[in-house]
Amino acid sequence: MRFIILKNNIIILFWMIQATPVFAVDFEKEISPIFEDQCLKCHCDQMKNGKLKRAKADFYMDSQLGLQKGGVSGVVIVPHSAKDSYLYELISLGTGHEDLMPPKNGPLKSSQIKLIGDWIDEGAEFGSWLGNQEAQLKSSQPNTRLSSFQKNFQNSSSNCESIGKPRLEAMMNEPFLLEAMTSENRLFSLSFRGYAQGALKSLELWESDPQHIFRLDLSGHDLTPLKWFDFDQLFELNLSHTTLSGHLAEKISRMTSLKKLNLYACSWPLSHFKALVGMEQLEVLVLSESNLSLAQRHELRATLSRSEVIF
Amino acid sequence: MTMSNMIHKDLSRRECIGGLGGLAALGISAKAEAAYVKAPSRQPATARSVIYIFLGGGLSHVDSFDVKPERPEIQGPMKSIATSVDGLQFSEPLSLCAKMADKLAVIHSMSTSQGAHEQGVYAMHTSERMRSTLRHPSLSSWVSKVAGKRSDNLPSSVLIHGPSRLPDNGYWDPIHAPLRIQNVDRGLANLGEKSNLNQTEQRYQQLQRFNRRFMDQFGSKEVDAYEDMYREALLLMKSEESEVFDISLEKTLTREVYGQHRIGKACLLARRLVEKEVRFIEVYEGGWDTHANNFDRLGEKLPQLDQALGALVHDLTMRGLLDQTLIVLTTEFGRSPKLNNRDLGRDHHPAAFSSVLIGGGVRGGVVHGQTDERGMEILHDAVSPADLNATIASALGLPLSKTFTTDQGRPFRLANDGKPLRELFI
Repeated sequence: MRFIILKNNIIILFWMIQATPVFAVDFEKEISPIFEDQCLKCHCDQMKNGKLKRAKADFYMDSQLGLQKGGVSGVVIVPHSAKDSYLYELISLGTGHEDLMPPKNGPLKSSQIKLIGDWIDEGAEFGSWLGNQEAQLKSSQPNTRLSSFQKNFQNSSSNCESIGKPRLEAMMNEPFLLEAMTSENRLFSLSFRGYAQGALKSLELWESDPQHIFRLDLSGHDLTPLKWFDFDQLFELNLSHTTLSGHLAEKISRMTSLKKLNLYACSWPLSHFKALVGMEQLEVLVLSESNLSLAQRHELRATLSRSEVIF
Repeated sequence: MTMSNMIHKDLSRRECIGGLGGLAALGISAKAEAAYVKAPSRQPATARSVIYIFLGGGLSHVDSFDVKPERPEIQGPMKSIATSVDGLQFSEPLSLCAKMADKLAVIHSMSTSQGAHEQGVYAMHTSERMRSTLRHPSLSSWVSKVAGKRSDNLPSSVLIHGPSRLPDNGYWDPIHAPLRIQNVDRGLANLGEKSNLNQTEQRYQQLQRFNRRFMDQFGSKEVDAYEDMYREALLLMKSEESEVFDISLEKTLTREVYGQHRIGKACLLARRLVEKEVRFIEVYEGGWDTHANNFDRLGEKLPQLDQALGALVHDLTMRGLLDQTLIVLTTEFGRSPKLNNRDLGRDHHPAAFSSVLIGGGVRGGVVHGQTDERGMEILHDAVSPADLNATIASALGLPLSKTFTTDQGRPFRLANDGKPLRELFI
């Protein structure tokens, strides 16, 4: 440690305190009883009326792994940062707030909230506590309940910053419909449906930060003049009643984030049919009323065996 | 950016909105408000539009989605069939629903405190109990108030076949009341001939000239509201988009698939409106108050419901729109599992009833809550009218914790602090 090389006694002392925190919160003695008392009624599996009730939100609070792994909202404890921890956020909400945890007897006593906050800030150490072995095992399995929508949303969301208010306000005057998908103003649903053809020019406003667009609806437009189209975090694209160029078709087929492609009544460039065949990233592909032949539709259904091909 | 001025869809409308003032107005400012939704909720909006099918009179839960096949004294002559979800059965007339059960989230544990029609309907629509001093807005009006409208010419919410007693804008401005379609066959009534529009507009301007002095002196929010309504109506009359209300433009085959009955036609119109990005469409279908002769009447009504719902889900799926359209099927209360002696009828039963959610990010093949073996009481996970409304609002990404203040300074929250059933969503 370079602090020691400095031979500065005070710094060494400081470093030692950091390494072996004297005032640390003890999980097993101080935190676990709170969780047991206030949270485990819902956040672990139990039998009720002869039926197995699974942990709410897939969040198992009766094991170390479960707590570390979080639930359907993702990781909820960020060691060393209570303020970034969703668990801490939820227990700190005011009385009567819809998201407050615990929902019935909440909020916890302020001393308990502080204790949990301190424990997270100090690194959320569990000591030797492992918790329920069975729950431990369950938590170590992949979280199958997390849908691709959630996974993609979380990934994309963490890859971009919030859009500031002035920019958003300016966007509201543009000929498209922009709707925030959460209060964080990070990911948006963007729609040109019902707007005049000229509106498409405004697509270029996203050239510098296309990562904010999660859902895009270009229904009813002639897309052949489009030059720029690089939405790298797009999850869902609606191309109903559109016509597109081979160039655009190629671009779309290479969009790895894309999970839902709606080609309802779309004129897909038939010379680029093969581009569709390679789109294994898709989960849903809608082909009804499109210009693709029945044979082509069946071919897509056969090749894209992991996706739902609708026609 | 320079481009944008050229392609604004309608400036005149936006200018006239200025009069309403503030973020509460529609159009552009309402869009801005939607973008600044300030809820700590991290749940992303999964749905973009809602089709809310309300079965007026009270759907019998034990004869539809919460059957009790082991209890013949409850079930009467109604048979049950297996669905595509293991262990879940529906009543026999719901054969299409049974096939697509893997797309449905069925709530078996709805419960309300209101056992009379008007109060029950009110509670379901507003999340509140009826009071003599105040009318609360319906969920559709809340959606209009909070999320604004998407199209300049079309309203944010439409109510199809709704009786006049249904709650509408309540304490919000009349502009947030849903547009009412009384008869789908006639579409949007009194649209008038496009050729006469100039005359109508001239008359309207004349009217404005007459009114100006009065407005300057006595103008109030209520009077302005009439003005807004005239303007909205004119915009709609002028717009090409008014065609959306005409279901005769659909192929005959499509209309046959939905069914040539009220609910079939209403559901077809609802799909047309979803395509035009109307946020909230309510389809009201009365006639479920089966105090007498329950089974014969359900024998007529349930197949129609099944056909319309099946067609709607299929059609939206084919158009790739089911993922972003939340279909809600609900009613004001359930019906008593015990049969009465009026030709095997069922009376009101507010303690337990069922609702169904489809699409819009709903996890399919899920059953929420449970009633006892007779369908009388909720065993666990009871869902109140407010909880259901909170669930719908949450799917649309609307803020449930934000407080809105009425003109009288009274604070209210969307869905009256109901708890959304987020576990039903992807």
